[in-house]
Amino acid sequence: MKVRVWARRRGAAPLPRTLDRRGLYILPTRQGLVFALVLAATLVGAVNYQNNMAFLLAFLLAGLALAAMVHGYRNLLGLTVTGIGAQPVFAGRPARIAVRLAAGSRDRPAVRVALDRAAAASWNLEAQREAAVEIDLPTRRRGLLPIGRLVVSSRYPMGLFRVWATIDPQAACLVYPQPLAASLPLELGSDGAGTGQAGPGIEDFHGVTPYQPGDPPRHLHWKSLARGQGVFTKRFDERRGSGGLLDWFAVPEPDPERRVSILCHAVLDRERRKQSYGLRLPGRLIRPALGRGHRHRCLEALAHLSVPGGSGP
Amino acid sequence: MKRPDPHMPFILAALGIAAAPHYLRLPPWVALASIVLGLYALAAALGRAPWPGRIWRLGMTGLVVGLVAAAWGLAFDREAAVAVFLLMASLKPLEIRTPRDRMVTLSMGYLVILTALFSSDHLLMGLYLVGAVGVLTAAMIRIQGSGGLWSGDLRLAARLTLQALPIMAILFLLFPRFQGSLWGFGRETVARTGFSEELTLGEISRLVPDTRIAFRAEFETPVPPPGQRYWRGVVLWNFDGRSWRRGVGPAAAGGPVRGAGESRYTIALEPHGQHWLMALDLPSGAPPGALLTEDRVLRVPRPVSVAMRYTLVSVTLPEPGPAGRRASAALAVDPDTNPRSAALARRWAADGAPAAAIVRRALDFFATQGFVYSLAAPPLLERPLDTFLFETRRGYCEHYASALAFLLRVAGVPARVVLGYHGGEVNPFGGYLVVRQSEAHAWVEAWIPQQGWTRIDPTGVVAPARLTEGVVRALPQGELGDDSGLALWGPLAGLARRAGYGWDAIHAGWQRWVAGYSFQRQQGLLGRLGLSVASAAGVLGVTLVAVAALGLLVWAYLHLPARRPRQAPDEVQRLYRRFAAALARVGVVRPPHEGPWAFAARAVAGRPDLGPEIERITALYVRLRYEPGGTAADLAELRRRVRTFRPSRRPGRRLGPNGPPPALQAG
Repeated sequence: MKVRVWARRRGAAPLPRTLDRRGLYILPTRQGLVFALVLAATLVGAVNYQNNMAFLLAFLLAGLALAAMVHGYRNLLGLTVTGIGAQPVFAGRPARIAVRLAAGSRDRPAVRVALDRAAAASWNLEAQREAAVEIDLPTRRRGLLPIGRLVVSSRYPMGLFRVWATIDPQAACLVYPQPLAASLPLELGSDGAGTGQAGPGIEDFHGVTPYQPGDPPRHLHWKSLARGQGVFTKRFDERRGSGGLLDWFAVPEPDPERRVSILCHAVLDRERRKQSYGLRLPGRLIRPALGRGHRHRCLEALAHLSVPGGSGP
Repeated sequence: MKRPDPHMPFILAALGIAAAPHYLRLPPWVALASIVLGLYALAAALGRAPWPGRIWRLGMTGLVVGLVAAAWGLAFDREAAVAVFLLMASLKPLEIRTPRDRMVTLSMGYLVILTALFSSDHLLMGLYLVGAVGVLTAAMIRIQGSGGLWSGDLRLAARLTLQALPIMAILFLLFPRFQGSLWGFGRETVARTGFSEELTLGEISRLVPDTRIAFRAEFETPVPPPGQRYWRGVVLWNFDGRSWRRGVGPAAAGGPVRGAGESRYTIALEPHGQHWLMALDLPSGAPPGALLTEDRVLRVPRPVSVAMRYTLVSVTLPEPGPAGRRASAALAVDPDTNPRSAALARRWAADGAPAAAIVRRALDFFATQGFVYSLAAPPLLERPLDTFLFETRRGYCEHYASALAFLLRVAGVPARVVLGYHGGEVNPFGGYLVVRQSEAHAWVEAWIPQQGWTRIDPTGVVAPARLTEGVVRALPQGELGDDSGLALWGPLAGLARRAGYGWDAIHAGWQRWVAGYSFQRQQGLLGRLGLSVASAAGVLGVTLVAVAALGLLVWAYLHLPARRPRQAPDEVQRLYRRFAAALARVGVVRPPHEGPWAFAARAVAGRPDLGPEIERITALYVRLRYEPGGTAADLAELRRRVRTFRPSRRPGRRLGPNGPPPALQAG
């Protein structure tokens, strides 16, 4: 199941928002100015030569411009921005911002959605349909990335006018830390008893069993091998809810941001290998578990972690 | 350097339609060059030919200008300028690189239309104008690149153009018109039609096959009977033995004409390139901008180069007026140019008979001496009038008028030749009279004491049918080939005639409201609306009316009901429905409001085993449906996947839209 973090709304411009007369602006484009030039030349010719056919052309062009203006305006009038959201991403990767639009009663061709800091995407909306326009927003730092203002615009139908509305959804996108591969001292942390006093290197050693193909080599019980007793593998306690606790204080890295990144990588690594893990951060403890929800909880905690002297949020 | 351009065919088609009237009018080599350039641009746009580089384009531009300069030389006129502009517009597509280039190219298309409009204000040009602008607009929509069908763009363009028409009408009627041009120069010349200020024998008979319309007349009073439909054009005073010329100095204004048989009417005059207006004989006053001279000619300061409308009052039975200051000029004659004729006239006057008796004798001469009304007049070389009066005796109105005026002058009766039209048929659809070039006519006015200037038409003596039934009936059988042809057609001819009347009625409306619309017409229209542009308040009022009308239109357009979405689904839609139906059979039902991705998420949640296939089909559908990037390969893949998508029935929960929490809708 995909996990998506939907917009956090903070009152100011609640979504869904339907574009209405107050919010819609319209101005001629550069193409529109070229068209106006053609119209002006035609009108001057008509007046100068007193030529009724030229008058007709000039006024037909004026009529077209006016009709195009109305069509462009109606193309956005009544369009609803129903929601905005984004899947969390790792810092440095682009966030895909999904803007959901509901067409309402009419077809809405060539609707362009842009963010302040991101490239735009264009969409043809069908009447009575809802569609999501996805825009890539570059990310650099972990934490909450404000999506910023959203500009819904259209140059439909002739490109002579640009109609637009600006919406500030007050939404933000969650950016996980950038994972950083680094070797960690194995099995940091305790079984998560919550003492907050975890010494390094304590393993929840349970016993040994005869080696089976596939057992990790680092779990080999070297002592018995050295004694010539055969190959045995160490077994660790795998009770549910227990397991390795990834401990902030145990990461041998002085820079807090890199430490966050290393822990992030460790979380992903554990999740991938289906080894349960917990997370101990300054002021917060997440008990060991497994699963995507758990992974998200841990990564979110890392994303929001504010460290003294660090550059995090 | 091959760079296919999918928009180019549409741009070229629109430009070609815009240039069509030029192709018919300009020298063939210009049209050919323009078409070849267009075809080359098409080949390049389809990737079949390389785009010309900068050097090539500059070279061709130079070549084109050089060719036009060589062809027109020093006589570089408006037509040459149009040729250069058209060829430039034909070169422009070859340098299209950016969307802005496309826009500029299409804008040149509008100007190509503009240049075509100066050549004619015929109704067909009006249809061309609207059609060509519509197609250019469709191309303009096309280059916005929203994809979709070409026919859809055309339909949208038609819709925009139709909505633009009422706006055009309001602006056309209410936009302030001025008298005179912005700058002193620039009135283009038009071809002269009809007769000129010089009457040489053979001049008017040349016009008989010309069925073009000279003018139309709408009567407020009853339409005068056929015999009284004399339309006065210009009066000729000077005769050199062969040709009559206007030959008067600065036109002096004449006083008003009084009399009985008043007719009030409006004339819609086709441009004829001459300095006079047509009027029913005799006009009692001049319309604004024209001058009624002593000899009752309506002079205008500039040649009539555009269609005009003016309202006049004429009297068909004028009271005797003064002879005028130049009456003596109506006696100037050189008898030696045609001595036999002169001798005849002197015999008539020898007994001191009054002017009226001399006129009667002259008409008797025409009636009794075997004169034939005919277009096939033998050539008159030496002493033309002598040859005509005593040898050939075959001729057309110009021969009779010319000869009679000469005879009267020699006999001491002041006489002058009047050129105009006689006749006109009533259009049953419009109720107006149509007068054609073929009805051009010449007659004589003689000064008779107590009667004043009196109209004397010798043609009526020779061929009475000319005055009552028109030229065709008056001429001997077979002189006009197409008349017998028409007779063979029988009832079809009647039908064609009726169709002709209908078309002319439409054309008359066009002339009335569009081609002949002017400052005066606008004044009249505003007057009827109770507005006047004479005062600042009046101007403000007109502006307010215009703005209010436009505002009302825009308001109406804003509230037009939305176009109903097309009902017939395209193939993509059909395939997707089939896919949804397949899923419905295994228990995942799609409600109409659900987006494709939301539906896919729910379906995958319900049937994880089908996950990859569902997601692939949905991705293809969304790309083809909503994104411009969908290709034929995508469609083929969608078709294949949907056809093979047959999920096995498996007992499972039935998932409604409000069932288990859906995967977050990613759209």
